[in-house]
Amino acid sequence: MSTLIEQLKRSFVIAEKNIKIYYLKGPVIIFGLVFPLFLALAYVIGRNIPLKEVLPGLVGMTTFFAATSVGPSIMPWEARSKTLERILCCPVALRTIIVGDMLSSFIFGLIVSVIPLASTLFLGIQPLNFIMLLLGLIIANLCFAALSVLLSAYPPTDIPATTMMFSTLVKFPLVFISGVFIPVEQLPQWGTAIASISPLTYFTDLVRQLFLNKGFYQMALDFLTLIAFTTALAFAAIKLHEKNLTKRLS
Amino acid sequence: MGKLYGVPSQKLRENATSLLKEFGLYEVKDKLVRAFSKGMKQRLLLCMALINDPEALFLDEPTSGLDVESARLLREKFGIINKDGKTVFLSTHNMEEANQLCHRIAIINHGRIVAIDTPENLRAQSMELQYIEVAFNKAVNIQELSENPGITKAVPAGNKVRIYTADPSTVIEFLVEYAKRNKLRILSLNTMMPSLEDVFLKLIKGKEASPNEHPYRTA
Repeated sequence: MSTLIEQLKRSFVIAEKNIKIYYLKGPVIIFGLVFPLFLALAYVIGRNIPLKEVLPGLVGMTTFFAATSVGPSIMPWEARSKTLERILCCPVALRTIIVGDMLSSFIFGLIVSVIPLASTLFLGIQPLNFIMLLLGLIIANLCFAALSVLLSAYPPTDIPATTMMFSTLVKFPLVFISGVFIPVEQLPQWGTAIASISPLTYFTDLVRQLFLNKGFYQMALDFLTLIAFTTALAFAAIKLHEKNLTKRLS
Repeated sequence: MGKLYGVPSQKLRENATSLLKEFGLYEVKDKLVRAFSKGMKQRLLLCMALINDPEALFLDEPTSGLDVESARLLREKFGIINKDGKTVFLSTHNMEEANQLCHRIAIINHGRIVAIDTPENLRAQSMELQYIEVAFNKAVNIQELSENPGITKAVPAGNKVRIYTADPSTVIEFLVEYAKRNKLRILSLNTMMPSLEDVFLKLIKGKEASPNEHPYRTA
């Protein structure tokens, strides 16, 4: 138990290091801040829809892009600058490093996703249950952070641009199939089936329920599915990184 | 880095300050590392390696590519670290560095240890590689010299002749006689022990010829 706590403490040290180094990197700012901002503006401007209606999509998209912007760049950057080897020489397990990377992605996502929510609250739009919203936000950010670290596992490269390109290739289709622009209940049956494979679908659905009191799935199912996705993605990220470590360092 | 070793914050601060001062980096502690020279980066890496006061230190070519001054400073530090009771594993291609710093040397070829001993014992294993360097006042026939008993090989080395032998005293007597007989003057004569580089090359070449005879394997 004490070993687990020690390793968890070291994950926070890794996260602290990532925050200092990677939050201000160009790709993180572009994909995590600038990109969702402009996509949100394109989504809102010129459409005669109340802010409350577009809010779930807006929050979902911002959270998703922000929480997945840090993770893909860390591993290739660390491998390239040879700092990954140095960290692995410390009494730190690879999974501790992965958890640290997830934590730094999670914190970035949480900070950025609070911005549209705070603006909404400032404009007087209240969620039905604030605690549920906060809980959903935490679980969704954890889930997307796990996805972002998984996206950096393959290919085992030391070129950050390659990982960023691959992650963009995965992230964009996910945004379009997840009920961000069109709610899931308005999709055809095949669209609903495709939407169900994306974790973002459940978060957007959750936010829709909390702000508009209408959604496609039950709120409990949204939570449970997000937790299941988080566990599966984190497990896959750890396993794939462990498998590819030698190739990445060679 | 110290936090990853579980060093308490207060101790970490003390260790960092003392190491930075010891390695001459305290004055630049607030500067970005990317502005550091290679020597400064190596010194910083050594500080990082020592932050948790380890009992053993593994250094992979620590002086490779460094300027003479930085390399000498680091070598001095390795000696001090070793005298402080820490074990230092040094991996290097620089035979002179290994000779100066190491109590025991392992020679590795294709991932296998082909010899492990003190520098002196390693050299003693290759006494046939010792040679005499002699300079005469006139050019001599090297072929004629090399045909004499006790001389393994004679090769020109600048204005000198390098004579390989397992019995230097007999060869020196022969050279004095040879000089008298041919009315030559000996300008200089030095007996040279085989260098670690010679031993290394001999071991590597010897083992390459018979790859199944490696006595050890690295773990």
